[in-house]
Amino acid sequence: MSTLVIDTIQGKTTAGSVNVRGEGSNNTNLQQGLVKHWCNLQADGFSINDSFNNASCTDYAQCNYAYTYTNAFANNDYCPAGFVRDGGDVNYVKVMQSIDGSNFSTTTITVRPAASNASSFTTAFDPAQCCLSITGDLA
Amino acid sequence: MTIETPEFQGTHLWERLHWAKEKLEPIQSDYRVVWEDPNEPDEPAKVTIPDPNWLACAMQGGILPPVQSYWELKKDEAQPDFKKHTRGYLLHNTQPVDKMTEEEAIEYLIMKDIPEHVWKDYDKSNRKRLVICKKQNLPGHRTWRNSWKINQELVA
Repeated sequence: MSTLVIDTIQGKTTAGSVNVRGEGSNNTNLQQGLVKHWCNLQADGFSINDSFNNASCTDYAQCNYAYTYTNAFANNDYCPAGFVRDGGDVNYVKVMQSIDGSNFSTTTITVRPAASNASSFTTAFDPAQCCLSITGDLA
Repeated sequence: MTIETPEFQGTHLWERLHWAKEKLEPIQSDYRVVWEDPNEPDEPAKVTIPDPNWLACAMQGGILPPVQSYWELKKDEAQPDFKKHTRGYLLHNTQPVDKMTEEEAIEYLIMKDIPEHVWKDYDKSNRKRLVICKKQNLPGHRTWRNSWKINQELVA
């Protein structure tokens, strides 16, 4: 077994592109697989527990929050993924959704947690935590 | 112990953030920026908080780009034919800003993350639309969150 001790991995052909051998003959591009932004927002008390590449959060209203980035994305075609942690009624499915397209820019995203079960849908709650991570291309 | 910031001009901002995450302790601020958008008078007041890791970068100095870099990128994005940023170098190659006090960092954040029409000449409007306060000045619970407004008597 060998240990690689280095500070930087850089592509030889293209500096910002490194392929990692995946399953079989597949290659996985290292840069494309990295999460470029993440933030664990304590929504019920409105504070930030931990993050990376996050500059601020804004509490727009109940159940309506924005995250802004330090290093902007190259475009707004990035891919956010969210997780809502809440100690409330376990019979609800809880998700994060966008407010509208205009608040999905290269520097910020506004989200709204929502809960639904077989008979109802609500956004009238502040969950304990709203966790967001984003993959995509940086500016 | 004082941590020296490496010379970061020309280093990708993303790499600087990695350095900061490893070397700097996050700083939780008690400051809150409360603001109202004059274009949405019926909406409740918004509250912006600085990220603790971002604030550590701001107060360390030599990491963050000048706020004008973000303004330029916003101008580019506002163009109708915008597809993707081609001037990312504004974040990476401009001279990073010196270390800031916590108060200066909050001012920088306002100009970076709050719409310009809110903070520009905010103190000259008839109705106060932006206030920097401490966390304890906000309501202690969120029961009536959608009714929050800036108290005009307090800020006058």
